[in-house]
Amino acid sequence: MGYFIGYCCLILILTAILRVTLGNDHAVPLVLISGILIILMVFGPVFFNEQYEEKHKGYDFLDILPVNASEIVLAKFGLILITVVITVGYLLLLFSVSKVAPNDWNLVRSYILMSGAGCLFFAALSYIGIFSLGYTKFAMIVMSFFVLLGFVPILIMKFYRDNMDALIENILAFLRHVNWLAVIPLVLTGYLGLMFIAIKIKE
Amino acid sequence: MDETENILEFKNVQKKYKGFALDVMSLNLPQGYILGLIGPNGAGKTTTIKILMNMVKRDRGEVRLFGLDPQRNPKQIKNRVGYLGEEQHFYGNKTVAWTGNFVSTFYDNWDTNMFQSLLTSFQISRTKKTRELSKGMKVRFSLALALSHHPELLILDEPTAGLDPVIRREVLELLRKKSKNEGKSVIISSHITDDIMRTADLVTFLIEGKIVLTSEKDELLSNWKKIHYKKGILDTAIVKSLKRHKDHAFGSSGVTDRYLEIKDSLVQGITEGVVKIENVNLDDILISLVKGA
Repeated sequence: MGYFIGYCCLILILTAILRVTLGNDHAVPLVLISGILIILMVFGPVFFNEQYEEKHKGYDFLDILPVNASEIVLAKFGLILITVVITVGYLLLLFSVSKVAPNDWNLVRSYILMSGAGCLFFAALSYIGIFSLGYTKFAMIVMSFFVLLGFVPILIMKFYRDNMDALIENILAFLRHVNWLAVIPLVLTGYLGLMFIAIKIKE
Repeated sequence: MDETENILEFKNVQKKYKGFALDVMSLNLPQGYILGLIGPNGAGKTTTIKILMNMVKRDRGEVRLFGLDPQRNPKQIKNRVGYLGEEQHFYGNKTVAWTGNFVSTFYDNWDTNMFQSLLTSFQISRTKKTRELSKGMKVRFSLALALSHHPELLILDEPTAGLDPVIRREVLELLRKKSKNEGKSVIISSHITDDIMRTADLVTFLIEGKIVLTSEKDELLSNWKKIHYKKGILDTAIVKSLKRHKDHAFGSSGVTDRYLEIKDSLVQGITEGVVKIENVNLDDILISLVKGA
């Protein structure tokens, strides 16, 4: 739990400092950094936390206590959800007080919310992977995945070399027009669905 | 054995692994008794216990602990059970006090005063980190955690493995006291038969996943004897029934599991000095059961 709170505080403090020091002129990098920090919440606290459980055989310890597997999973998923909601909410508040054009504000909001949704999605998948395969095996798979992920920009460059501007414009247009009132319930439903899968695996 | 209510019932329980199958037809434990589970390594003792604790899911069969199915009511059951495993896992960077506080939040019936008093009597420092505890201290600490919520049943899986004789004796004495004075039931598994000999009222032998013998300990020790005799003295039927039969230069010997039944037919031989009866211990019985006739 400490990892989540620590990481959440880190994001909040870091973005606030960057916001104050950089001002409005560097809003774009700040928004980009914030989104990446949200996504990294999965690979930081989730993996640190699970590594800790693995090191101390935490689940074996919990196994002998009167607590259901579903309660453990619920606590983990709940904690991530709360942390993401606080972080995303804070960042949206931070950027909403900036002088951002209405059209760009849609983009910023979408990007931050998308990062939050991505964090929830990856966190849920990570827990499913860890509960099914064990931390060590899953961490190895994730590392291999990251190595492969390094090729993605190269592939994008190769296939969209002539249409890079159009591709970026399409992505931005998509982000501007996402209907978050519809997407947020969908994301939460998906997250809950993945949580139930994780509970079934853990049980 | 008195007609006491069974707090534990196993019926036709099966659990299969690759190369091993646990097949427990029947196993019961009346309230207030200490049941010793004896068997060689890999006999299925830990699997049996883990099924009780819902740490392993059975493939088929019925298990009832306090009348509840551990698979359906794990939380309720664990609230009433104190468990001590062969290995003790704690968050190593946390202190004894933190761990006690953490564990206390899970139990409905946690007794902080009892926990503190057990720590004091076990001489465990509250400020010590759990990774700094020795093996013996970890067992004592686990026992303090297992006892501080007033469990009705204590389940101990090889609790004395790796302990020095002083701590071993201390742990076994404590169990004996808890059962005698507070009427707590205990299940203790061990391949160290001396532990079972000292504590158990009932003994169950588990070999290759199957229960081969269950009995009251005293009855078992009364029925199992080693017979030394001169050739031709004993009835052929008795000789054939002896386990681990051996011929020596001075006679023969073997182990019987129905001494009380054949006792009368041995009296004359005993009087003449051609038959000698020797007590056996649980080790001898285990070896006889493992190696067969």
